[in-house]
Amino acid sequence: MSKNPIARTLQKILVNHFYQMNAGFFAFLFFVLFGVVKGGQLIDYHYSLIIAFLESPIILVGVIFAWILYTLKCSNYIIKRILEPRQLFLSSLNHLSNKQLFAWMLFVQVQVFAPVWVYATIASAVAIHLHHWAQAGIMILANLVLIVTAARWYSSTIRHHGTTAFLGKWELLQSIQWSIGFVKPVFSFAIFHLFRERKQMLLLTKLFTLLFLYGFIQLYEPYKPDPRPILLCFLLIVGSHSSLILQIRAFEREFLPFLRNLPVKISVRFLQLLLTYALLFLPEYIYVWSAYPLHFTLLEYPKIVLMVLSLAAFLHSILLVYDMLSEDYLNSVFGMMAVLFFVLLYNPGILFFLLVLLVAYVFFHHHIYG
Amino acid sequence: MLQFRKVEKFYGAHLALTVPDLDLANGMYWIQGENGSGKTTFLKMLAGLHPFKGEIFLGPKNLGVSELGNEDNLGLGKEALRLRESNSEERSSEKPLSILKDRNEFLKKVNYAEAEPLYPPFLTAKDLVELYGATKKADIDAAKQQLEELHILDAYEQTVGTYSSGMVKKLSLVLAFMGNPDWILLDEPLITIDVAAVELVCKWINDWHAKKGISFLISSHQSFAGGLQFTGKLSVSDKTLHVEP
Repeated sequence: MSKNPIARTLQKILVNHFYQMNAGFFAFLFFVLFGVVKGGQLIDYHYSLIIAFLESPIILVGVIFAWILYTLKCSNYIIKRILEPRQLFLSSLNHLSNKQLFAWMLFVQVQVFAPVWVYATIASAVAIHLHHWAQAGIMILANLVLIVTAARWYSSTIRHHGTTAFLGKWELLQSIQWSIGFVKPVFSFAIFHLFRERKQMLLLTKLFTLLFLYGFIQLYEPYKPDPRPILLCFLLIVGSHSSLILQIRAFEREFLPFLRNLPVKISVRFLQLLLTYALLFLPEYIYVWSAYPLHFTLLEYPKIVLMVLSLAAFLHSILLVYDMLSEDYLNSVFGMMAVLFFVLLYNPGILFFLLVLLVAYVFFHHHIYG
Repeated sequence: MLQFRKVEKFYGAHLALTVPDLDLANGMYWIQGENGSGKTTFLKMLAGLHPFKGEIFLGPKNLGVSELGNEDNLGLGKEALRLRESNSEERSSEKPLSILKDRNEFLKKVNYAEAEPLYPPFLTAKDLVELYGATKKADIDAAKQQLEELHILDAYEQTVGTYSSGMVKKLSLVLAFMGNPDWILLDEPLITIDVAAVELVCKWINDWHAKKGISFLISSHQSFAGGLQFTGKLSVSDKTLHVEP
C-alpha cells in the first residue's frame, strides 16, 4: 500500500471498502464470466464473447450499456460513502487544487473501475489485432469518458459535500417520499434501505434474476412438470442475491443495534427476517407463476418458496456467526450452492428445506445477540 | 436492584471491562471515567446490546437482615438502602430476572439511550415511537407529549435523516423514557441538546426517580450543576467498574 497518506486514506476508505461491500457481486460476476466453462475452454470462450461484440453493433451497445450501469454503481457507492457523516474528514482534501483533487479521484475511479477497463483493454487489443479500428476506438473512448466523468462527480461531491452533488436533489426527493404514509414494520427496514442506498445493486440483481427466469421459462419446455430445473434456477437466484444479503446484514450491524434493547422474542425476530426475505423475493415468487403448470404443480410451489426463504435465512444467519466481509461468506455461498446443486438433482422433499430452515434458526438463535 | 456476577467483557482476546460481583440498589448513579474507559461498554452490556461473560440479574435478592444492614459492602447511601428495602419488600415473591435467561422480561425493565444514537435515516419519529410503544407496551401519547415539550413534535412524521444531531438525541431520550422501566440507562444524555432541553431532561430524571421510583445510570462528562440528586457514583478505571465511596 502507498505510503502517501492521501493515497492510503482513499485506498482504505473508498476503494477497499467498495470491493469489500460488493464482494458478493464480484464473486457472482467472476462465477458467470469464469466459472461456467471448463478451464481449458476459458480463453476460447472469452475470445468468442469478444468477437461477438466486435462484430455486432447491437451487442457492443449492450456491453457499453453494462459498463455505464457499472459506472453508476461505482459512482453512487463512492459518493454515498463520501457523504457519510463519519467521512466528513475527507473534506480536508479541499485544500488541494482542482487538478490535484481530480487526479486523486481518478486514482480512486481507476481502481474501482478496474474490472471493466482491464477487460476492455483486452477486448481493444483483440479489436486492434483484428483491425476493428472503430470498435477499439469506441471502447477506449467509452472507458475514458466513464472514468473521467465519475472522477469529476467525486471531485464535485468533495468540493460541495452534497450541497450541489448530483445526488443532492435525489436525497431530498427520497426524504419526502419515505416520510409519507404508513408506519414501517421492522421487517421492511432492510428493504427500504436497499431501495434507498443500494438502488443499482437491487435493480441489477432483479433485472438479472427476472431475465434469467424469463429466459428459462421461455426456452425450456419439460415433457411433464418437474420442479428440479426451476429449483436449480432459484438456487442461482438466491446465489445472485448473496451480495444483497451481505448488504442487509451490514445495514443491521450499522443502523439496527438499538433493536437489541427491545424485548422481542428470538422466534419473532427470526419471523421478521423471513418476512424481509419474502418481501425481497416477492417479484420472483410472483413471476414464477408464469411457469405454472408446465414446470411445477400447485403442491410444489410451497417448496420453491420455502427453499428460497430457508437458503436466504441460512446465508443471513452465517453472517451472524462470522463477522465476515468477503472470503468466508463467499466460500460459504459457493459451498452451499455446490452441495445443493447435487441435492436438488434428487428432488428433495419439503422436509429437507424445513431442515435447512431449522439449521438457519439454530445459527440465528445462538448468534443473534453476538 | 441490579446484580452483577463475574461480568467480563472481551473484544476478541482483549479484556475491555471487568465488573466485580456487585449488588446495585435502586437509585440514581453517575458513572464517571475517562474516554474509552468502558462506560459505554458497561451500559451497552446492561442494555442487551453487547454480549459478555458472566451474568446480570434484575430484581430483588433474597437478602437476610444482616446483609441488608451491611451497606458498607455495597458503598451505598441511605436513600439507596431505603429504596432497596422498599423494593425488596414489594417484590419479595418475585424471582430476579436474568439478562441471559429472561432477556425479554429484563429488557422490558431496562431502557437505554445511546450517546450518539443512530437510526435508519428513512425512519420517522412516528415509526420509532410506535415501534417502542408496541414492544415496550408504552403510552404513545405520553411520548408525543415529551416530544412536544422538547419542541420536536412538529417533525414527528419527518424522516430522521432530516433531523439535526440534537433532534435525534432528543428523540432517543424520549424513546428511553417509554414503557414501564425499572432502570433507565443514559449515555451522555446532555450532549448536543440545547440548554432548555438539558433542564427539562434533568427535571424528568428527578421526577421519574422521585415519583415513579425509576432508577438511573447516567454517564456524563458534564457536570449536572446540582440538577440531579445522585444516590452514588460509579467509576470505570483500569478496565474495572468501581463503586465510589
